[in-house]
Amino acid sequence: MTLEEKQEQMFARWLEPQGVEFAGEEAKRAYQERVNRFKDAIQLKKAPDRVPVHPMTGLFPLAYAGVTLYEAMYDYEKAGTALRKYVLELEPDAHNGMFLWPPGRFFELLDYRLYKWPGHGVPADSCYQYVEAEYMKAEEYDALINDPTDFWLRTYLPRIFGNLKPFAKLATLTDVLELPLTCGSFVPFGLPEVQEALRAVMEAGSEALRWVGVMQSVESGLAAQGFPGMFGGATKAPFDIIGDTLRGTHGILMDMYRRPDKLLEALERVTPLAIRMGVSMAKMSGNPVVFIPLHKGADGWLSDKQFKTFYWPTLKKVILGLVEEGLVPFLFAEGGYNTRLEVIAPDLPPGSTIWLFDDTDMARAKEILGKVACIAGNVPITLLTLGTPQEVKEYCKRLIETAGRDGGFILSSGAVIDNIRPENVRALIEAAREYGRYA
Amino acid sequence: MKVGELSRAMAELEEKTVLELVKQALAAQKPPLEIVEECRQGLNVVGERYARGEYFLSDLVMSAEIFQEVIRLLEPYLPLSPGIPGQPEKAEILLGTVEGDIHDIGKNITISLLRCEGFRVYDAGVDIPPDVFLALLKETGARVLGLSTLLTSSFEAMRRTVQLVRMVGPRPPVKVIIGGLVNERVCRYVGADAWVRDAREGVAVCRRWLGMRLVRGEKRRALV
Repeated sequence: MTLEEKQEQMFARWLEPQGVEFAGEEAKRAYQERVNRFKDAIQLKKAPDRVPVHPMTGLFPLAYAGVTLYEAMYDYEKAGTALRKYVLELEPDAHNGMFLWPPGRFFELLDYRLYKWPGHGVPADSCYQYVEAEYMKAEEYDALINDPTDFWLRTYLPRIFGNLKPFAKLATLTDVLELPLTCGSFVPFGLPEVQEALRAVMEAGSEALRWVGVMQSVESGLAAQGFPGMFGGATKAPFDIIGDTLRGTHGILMDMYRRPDKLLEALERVTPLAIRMGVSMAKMSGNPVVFIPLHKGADGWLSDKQFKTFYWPTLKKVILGLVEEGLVPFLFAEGGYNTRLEVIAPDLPPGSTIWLFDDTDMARAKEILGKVACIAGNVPITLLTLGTPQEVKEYCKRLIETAGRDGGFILSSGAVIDNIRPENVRALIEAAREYGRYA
Repeated sequence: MKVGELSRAMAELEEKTVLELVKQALAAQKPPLEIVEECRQGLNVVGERYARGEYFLSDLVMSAEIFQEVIRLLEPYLPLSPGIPGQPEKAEILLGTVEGDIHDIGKNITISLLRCEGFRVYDAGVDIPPDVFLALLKETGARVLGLSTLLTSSFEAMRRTVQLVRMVGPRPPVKVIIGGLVNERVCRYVGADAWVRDAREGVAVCRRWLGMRLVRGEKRRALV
């Protein structure tokens, strides 16, 4: 199959979602109209009927329904009800589903240390927050490079989950070879503390399964009523994989100066894992759009040379690897990407990616990327938080005129929307209908 | 050691060369405060390059890292540590992340740059409620309050903090600067005196408010 055929096949799966019984012909028509709106905006072959609108919501659906994140993380039905209320009442063209509100009990069972979450370090109605630290030491690059899975299992997981500390005692499983060379690797599984850790894993697994069941039923219920989810899977840029939650910001910035070769080797090493992550999730869900939040490549963080050396080459490989499988990487470029546009544009396969911009000049983004990629964004989160509905609409109107010209554009917020005035989200969604017609 | 070689190596972020030159200078019995001063001249160049867009966040972080290593080498020889990197009892600037937010990268970078510039900065930490900021202002005697957030949900906490400090805080009133996910609109909303989106700008504002720490006369006061 050609790339184009593969992509068409994935879109066909998104248009005819498996296991979804539409509420009626009208719901089916509305669902497919919405998906096609995104498809046209992404593929750049023709303008859609109008600008698709996808507010980049985080906690907003919960706040809108008067549900705290704490409640959502512990009462999945309640979270589902909130999502339904938001989607059915405000009617965005796509929603973010429930994946941003994962099960609190799961994290408790494993004593998760990487984030603080409501009830565990942040207030009930706040978002969870990452605890910045070095979870991988500078001298552990070789361990990561030699065997990433082993590094995750025996070094990383024991650090980020208090209850999986005993996994540090496990033996390497690649030692299991011949009959006399088998038993040794299993000895640690006999240790009482390791067995206790395994019991925690089993309980956490059951909780995750319960949660995913509710999530699937809520999301396919919404599809049945005509509302698609935006994302089929997620992955990350290799530089962010290592920089965000392994070495930490300070660590990876120093590594560029102190051990550039090791860093480059590690980036290459995790690249196929990042591709696998996105591909397996999207193939399973039948939705081609793969969410990739970008962090440390934004304007100002790295020099142009550092971006071209450390950030872009492996992110490019991830993008191409996903596109190769008929998928559509959705790059969430938080912060500014003004100085990166010229670097990324020539490498992008046409009609296969979405770039959601925040603090980026959208007229320039349209000019530089418009022929090869669908751009999205960039209604400022400060305007959405502190402005009036009229101001939001005026901003959207101007944005559609520049960035939305001839299609290839999705109207969205530049950053994640949490607890803001509902009338401003409504204004954002209405603006697409009022000012976004192409016909 | 050639004059200026140390500040040049600092400006070029040549970590090994800087540390080697510092060791040589110590062996040659050069006064440690002069060594600090040379490094700071290098840091100034880093700051200028950053302001011109030739250096980036990564370079700033690296320069502060090298400077801290220099201080570690010099510490046994310094009569009084120039406020770096430890927490001072009395401070000119109090900086922290507001209640409900634990983002600390921007705050930490700003603090290390301010300290490199010779300011005494008290790091309040993250997720700091308004009354704790107030108490810390009184304890440290700081004249400038820096509040950081990257969450829209923490604008309210920022506003409450500024209101509390304005209402019952020290007199004459302290200056308030906010940083992170902020702009003119947020600044007006929370009632701060200045807003910045990058650490270097924050340093420039503090210099305007408190005076330079790196000019000759004041340098001594900052260092001794």
